[in-house]
Amino acid sequence: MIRKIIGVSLSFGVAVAMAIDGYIVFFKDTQSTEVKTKTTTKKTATVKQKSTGQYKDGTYTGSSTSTRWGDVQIQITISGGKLTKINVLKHPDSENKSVQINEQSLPTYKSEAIKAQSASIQQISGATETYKGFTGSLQNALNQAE
Amino acid sequence: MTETKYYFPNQVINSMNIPFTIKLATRTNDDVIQGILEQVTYTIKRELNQVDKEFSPFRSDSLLVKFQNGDLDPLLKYDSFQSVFVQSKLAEEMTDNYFSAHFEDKYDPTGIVKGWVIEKSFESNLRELLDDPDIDGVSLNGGGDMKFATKKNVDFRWGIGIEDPNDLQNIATSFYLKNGAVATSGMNKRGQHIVQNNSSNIQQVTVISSSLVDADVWATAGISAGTEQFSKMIWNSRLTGVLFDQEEGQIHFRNGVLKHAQKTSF
Repeated sequence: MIRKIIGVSLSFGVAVAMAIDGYIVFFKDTQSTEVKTKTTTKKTATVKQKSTGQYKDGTYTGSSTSTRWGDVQIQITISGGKLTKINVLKHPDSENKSVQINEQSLPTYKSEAIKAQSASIQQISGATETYKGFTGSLQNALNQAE
Repeated sequence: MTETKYYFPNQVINSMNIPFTIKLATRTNDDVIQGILEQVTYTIKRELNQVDKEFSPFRSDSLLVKFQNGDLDPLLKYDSFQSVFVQSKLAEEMTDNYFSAHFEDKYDPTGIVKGWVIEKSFESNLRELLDDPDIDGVSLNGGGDMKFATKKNVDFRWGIGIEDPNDLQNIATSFYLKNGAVATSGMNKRGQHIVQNNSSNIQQVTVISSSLVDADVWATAGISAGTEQFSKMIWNSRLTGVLFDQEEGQIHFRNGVLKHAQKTSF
């Protein structure tokens, strides 16, 4: 009974959240927030050009982005009004990780050839799936058997 | 020991013309579980649509198209764009350019974007659901590439069937995994611009990794490199997964070691 009440109030919560989000999505146009690039202010191009995409000659560095290899930064070089170079600056200790990303915490597994309809399979990994072809796919069939 | 009976409530989202399946493994299937599933589906759908808005090659106002047209703002000012850009650059390096985020001379990171958004959405929405005593497994599968996890100290594993490249209605092999990511690439996978510079008979590559972006990058690189060249990469990078070759059949590899499957009949 209590679970039922929680369930109902949860669905109500979802409905409210949907209404609020709907408002945000349709009326506020949430683009992803611009990051404050401390380094670009170093060389703020005076905005003579019309397009916001125009930068003066020089080197610009984006803010630090964390990846699974550690923190990295993008550095671009513009000369003669053209983009001539894009570098990814890696922090010193991030280099090694890129080689071995695969081995840590690798799950143990067993593999076997079995029939598609086996109850022990819940997921399909394949090369061909688009939404258009989804109805006839194995994954869709498995989803029905929840 | 009684075996736990599991339910697999799920929801499918269509975004970027890819079917995304959110699937839980639960011990009950009541209103509470359904409520949780609905809520998380709603949030994930919103995130996917936002990423589509930023990275669609078909929207003239997307960050991607702006960048393709010479605007550098996406690269210097947007967190999401930087992150994807860095990952595609490192992916090209990691695979000696067998993976490419360029198509017809244009920057087009479609493959990376999909892996990245699945990973991101999974970590920020699904992993925490494992705290619920009734939820033992969570997964997000986008068109056959997926990220998944299970609760510690339970026996449940996700059963993942690998599509048979010669018969799409059949499973060629399967893996039972607790945590990680699986990606599969074939000659015809949409959104991947694979240029094959070899005479190999490679048909399909599946890679298992802790990161979905890596799994997808390696699987794509494998198709583009061909069986022989990819075998070297498998060893050098200690990859795990399975590949299908028209001549050689099904070849499993684990931590870099190749293992030809004996011809199984069933």
